[in-house]
Amino acid sequence: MAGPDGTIAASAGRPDTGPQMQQVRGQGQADDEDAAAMLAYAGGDARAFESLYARHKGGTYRYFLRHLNGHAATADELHQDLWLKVVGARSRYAADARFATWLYTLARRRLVDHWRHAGIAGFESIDEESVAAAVEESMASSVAHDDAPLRATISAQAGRRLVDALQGVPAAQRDAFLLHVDGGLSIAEIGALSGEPAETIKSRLRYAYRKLRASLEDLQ
Amino acid sequence: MTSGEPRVPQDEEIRQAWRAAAAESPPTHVDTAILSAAREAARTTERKDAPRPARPWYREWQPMLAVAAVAGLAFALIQVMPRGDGAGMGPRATASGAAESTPPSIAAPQISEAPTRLKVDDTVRKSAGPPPPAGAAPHPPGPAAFDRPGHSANTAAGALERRPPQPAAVAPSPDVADSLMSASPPPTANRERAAAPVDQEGVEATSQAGGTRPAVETRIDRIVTLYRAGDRSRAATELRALRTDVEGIDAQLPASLQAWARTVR
Repeated sequence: MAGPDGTIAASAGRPDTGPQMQQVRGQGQADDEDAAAMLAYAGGDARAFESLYARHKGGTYRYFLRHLNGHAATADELHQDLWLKVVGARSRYAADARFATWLYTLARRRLVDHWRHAGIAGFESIDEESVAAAVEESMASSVAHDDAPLRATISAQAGRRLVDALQGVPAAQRDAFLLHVDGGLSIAEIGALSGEPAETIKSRLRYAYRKLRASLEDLQ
Repeated sequence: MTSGEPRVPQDEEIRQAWRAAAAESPPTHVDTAILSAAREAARTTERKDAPRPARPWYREWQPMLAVAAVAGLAFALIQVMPRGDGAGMGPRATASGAAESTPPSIAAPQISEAPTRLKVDDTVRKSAGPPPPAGAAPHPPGPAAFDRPGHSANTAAGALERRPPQPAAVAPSPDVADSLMSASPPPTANRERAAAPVDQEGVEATSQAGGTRPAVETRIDRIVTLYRAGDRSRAATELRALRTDVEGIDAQLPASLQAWARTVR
């Protein structure tokens, strides 16, 4: 939330913090707050935008940062472009969809535009069927291991490993993971956003989780 | 959200680890730029939504009054404009221009001498001078008056349209048209005529009597053309007819035709 001087606390209002039950219960409320804040901002309430920005700025920034292999300058630029687009589109926002879905749709489009201008292949860089098959195969061979609780220490070291491991995940799978975890979108929402069936998104998520989990295996 | 969906095994631990590690946020200057733009946009929205001060009643009616005034003026203008016979605006406009650009004392006889060919509208006639007498004989139009160097070039096109149709055998069509359009000095015949001695008194007399000067020059041109084309008999016929209309016309003929003219009786 905005302070008296208009500054924004970095972690304030993040939608995906706290215990899971509280998060699930609070998700609908957060969605309502997002929609109400955006509509209030469209009506000229600058404070509403500040609260909205405080809730989602971390997620969108990291979404760009992870997809850009940690290139902060470009992430800054795309993040700023995204939110200026939100500002410009305030009068066109309709509360018939979740604000987060709308926001990450804009973010994804901006990222694809950036890749297109940079001549980068983007999300179409991997064969979906072969990935799905590989994921299923690897999961079947490691069921026993996966059923055991992951005793990874939630530490800076584990986090760093996850970040590094995600760079090795193909873009489409990485995108599904970031939208799911950082953006808080459901599988159905990610599917609608990216124009893919839910099963495809699920396969992508499994692949991403598998890769990340493998990076933490020696910490267990 | 994700509740109720097929759960990927063991993903919760990964999510927790990820969220604990993911602490990056945009730099302060990016935050500042975004929030400044957002506040400015909100101020703009507020200004747009602010109620406007009441306008005086006449400001509400101003556009409609303006439209009505324009429509009224257009209607009045249409009523005042002369109604032509549909022969086209070109000749009328040219004749009007000629009448305006020429002093009335000169323009009046020229227009009144050729009422049936010029199709000068009533407005031009009124401004140019009195109408011709009812018994006045129709006279061929006189383009020579227009293609003389003393006349302005913008009347040349009108003069071209008023020129009587030339016989095919003698019509010097392209050259004549070009000379008329460009309002250039007259061709050889005219130059010879200019060099020939002119009965000034006779010309002035005929001009005062009804402005026959353009017609005379046209007819002299015609005689010269026929003579040069070898049609001596028609040239002689034309000369005789001209003699009956204009006394002492032989003196106005080009020098090269003087000797021949003396043989015509």
